[in-house]
Amino acid sequence: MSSLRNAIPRRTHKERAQPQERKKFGLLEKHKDYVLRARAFHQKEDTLRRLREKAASRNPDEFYFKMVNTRMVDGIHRPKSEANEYTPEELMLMKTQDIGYVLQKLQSEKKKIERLNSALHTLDHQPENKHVFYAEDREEAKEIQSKQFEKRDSLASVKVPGRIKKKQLHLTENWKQGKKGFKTWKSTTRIWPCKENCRNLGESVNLVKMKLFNRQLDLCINGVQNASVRLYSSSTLI
Amino acid sequence: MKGGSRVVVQPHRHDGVFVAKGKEDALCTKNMVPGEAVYGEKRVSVQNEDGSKVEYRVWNPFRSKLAAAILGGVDNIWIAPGTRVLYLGAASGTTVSHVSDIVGPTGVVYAVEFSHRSGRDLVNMAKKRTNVIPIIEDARHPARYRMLVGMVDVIFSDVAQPDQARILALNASYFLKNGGHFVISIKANCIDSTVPAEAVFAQEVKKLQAEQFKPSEQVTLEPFERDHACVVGGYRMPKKQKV
Amino acid sequence: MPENKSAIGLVWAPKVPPLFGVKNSSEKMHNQTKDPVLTPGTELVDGLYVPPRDPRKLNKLLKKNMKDTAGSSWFDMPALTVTPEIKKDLEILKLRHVIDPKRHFKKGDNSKAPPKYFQVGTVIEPASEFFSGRLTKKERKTTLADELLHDDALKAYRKRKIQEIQESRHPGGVEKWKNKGRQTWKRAKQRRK
Repeated sequence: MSSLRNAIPRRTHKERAQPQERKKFGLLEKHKDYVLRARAFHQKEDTLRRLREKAASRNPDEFYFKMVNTRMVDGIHRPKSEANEYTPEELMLMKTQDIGYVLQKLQSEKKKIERLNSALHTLDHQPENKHVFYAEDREEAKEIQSKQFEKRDSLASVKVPGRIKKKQLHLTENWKQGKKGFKTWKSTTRIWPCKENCRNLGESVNLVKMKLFNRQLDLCINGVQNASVRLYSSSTLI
Repeated sequence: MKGGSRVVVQPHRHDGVFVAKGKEDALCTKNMVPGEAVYGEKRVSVQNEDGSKVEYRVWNPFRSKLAAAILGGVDNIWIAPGTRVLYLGAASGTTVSHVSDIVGPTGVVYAVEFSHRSGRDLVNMAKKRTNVIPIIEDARHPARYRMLVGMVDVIFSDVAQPDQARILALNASYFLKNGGHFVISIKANCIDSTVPAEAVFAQEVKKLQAEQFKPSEQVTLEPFERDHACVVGGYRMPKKQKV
Repeated sequence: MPENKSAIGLVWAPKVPPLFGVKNSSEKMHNQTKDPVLTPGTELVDGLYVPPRDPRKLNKLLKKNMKDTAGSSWFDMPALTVTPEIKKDLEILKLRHVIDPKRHFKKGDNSKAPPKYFQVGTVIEPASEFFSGRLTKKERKTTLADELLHDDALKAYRKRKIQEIQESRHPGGVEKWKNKGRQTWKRAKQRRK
C-alpha cells in the first residue's frame, strides 16, 4: 500500500539542471518545455497559413461599411483620423481667440480689484508709509515731536492702562533725580543732531535727552514707530 | 460701496475735504458740478432738510497723489476753500477736478499740462468748472504763460520729470507769493532709478532747500504708490521772531 | 399806550374799515394806535428793517440769526436734527468692527457724543458699474440699519453665532432649559404627522 511505503522517507529524484559551463544558455529544456514551445509555434504557423489562404482567395468586390472611413496605410487598414483637421490659419485664429479670452478675464479681474480698492480707505493696520518732519532747530524739533506724540496719544490704537502710564512717569522722575540703576538714554534712544551741537547746548541737551527717552518709551509701548524728526544741518539754515 | 447704499458724510480734518462713511469709508470732495462725474467715480447724493441737493464725489487715492498724501497722514495740504492754486502736471484733470472742488467757487486753479491729448480732456473738464483755467504749455517755461496766471497761494507739482525741482523753483519765482506753500510729488524712479528711494527723496529735499524752499514734511505714498513721496513746505517764509 | 406785539421797524397796513361793525370802542382805540413809526420790538420782519441801536440787542439779533453750520471751510455743511433712525445709523458706524469679524477699521475719534455736522446720502454708481456695483431697487433701504438687517451674509453669520452661543450656554440635554408648553407640544405633534 502506498500509505505504508510513505512511512519510510524516500529520497525525491530531482531533475537534471543545466551544467555550470552551459549556464549562459539559460534553463535546460525538458520535454514538457519543448512541448509548450512546439505547440505555440505550430499554432502560429497554422494561423498564418490560414490567413495567407484567405488573403489569396479574397473577393476583389467585397465591401464593408467600415471601408468608408478607413484607408490602407502601408498595408494596414487605418481609420481616418478622429482629430479635426484645421488649416494653419484656422489654428492660429483659434489660438489668438484663446489668448484673447484669457486676457479679457485678466482685465475684468483687475478692474474689479481697482474698483474695490478705490473705496478701501480705512483699514486697521500699522501705517506702511513713513512720515518725516523737517525742523530748523532744536526747539522746532521738540515742538513738532510733542505735537506728534499728543496726536498719537489721542489716536492710539492700543489703550495704555493707567498703571503703566504711572510707571513711565515714575521712571522719568527717577531719571531726573539721577538715581542709579536706570538705563541711560544712550542705550535706548537715538538723537538726531550731530556731536558739535551737543557740546554747545549743554543743559538743554539733557532735557531733550530725557524727553526723548520718555517719548521713546511711549512709542515703544504704543507700537508706533514710523514718525521721525530730522534737523537741517547748520549750513542750510534759512 | 454699492450704488444705492446709504452713507454718512462728515467733514475731514482738512478744509474742504469730506469723508463718506458706510460699511467702507471713502474720501470725497463736494462736487461743483452736481450730476456729473469726471472720470467715472462714485458720487454721493445728499438731500438737505430744506430740500436742496448736494453732491460729493469720491476721491480715489490710487489715481490721485494728493488723496494718497491725505490718507497717508500729511499734516497740512494748504489747499482750502478760497485758495489760488497752480497745478503743474495736470494730466487729464482727474486730481485737478478734486482740487477745484476743494477751493470752491471763490478759489482758482491754474492747471498746466503739456501733452495735447491730456490737454483736450483738461479743457473739456474746465468747460464745466469756472474756477479751472487750463494752460496747455510747457511748465519749464513759465514766461510763456505768465500773462494768464496771477499770484498764487499754493503750487502743486506732479510733473514726474528729473528736473522737477528746477521747474518748481522757476514757477515759484514767477507766481508763488512770499509765505506761500508748495506740495510736490516725487517719483523716485523717474529721478534716479539706480539709487534707493530714500536717497532720492533726501536729494530732492536738498535741492529744494537750496532754492529758498523750506520743506516741512515728507510722506511716502505707500500703500497706494510705490517709491513715491509727497513733500510739503513753504516758500520764502518769514523768519520767526525768537521770543 | 399798550405795547404792540408788532414787528420792528416800519409796519404799514392799509386802513380798511372793518367788515363787521366793531362792538367795543377799545378795539377801535387799538387799531388807531398803530402808527407807522419805528416800533421797538424784538422780531425781525422780511423786507425793510433798521437794526436796533443798542449794540447788545444788535448782537443778540445777529447771534439768533446765525445758522448752525460747519463753517465756510466745509461749504456750510448744516447740522442735521438727530432722529432715532439717524442715531442708530451713527451707532452702527461706531460699531463697524463688530459687523464683520474679518474686517478691521482704524480707531477713529473716541468721542462719545454723536458728530454734530454730518449729512446722510446715497451712493450713485457710475454707468460702467451697472451690473457689478449696484443694489437693485428692492435691495435699497432708507437707513444703514435696514441694509444690514437684509444683508444675506450677515444674516447667516448672525444665525451661526447665535446658535454657537446658545450651544455653549445652554447645551442640549438639560431638562431645566427646555421650552415646555402647550405650543411646543402642538408643534411636535404636527411634525410627527
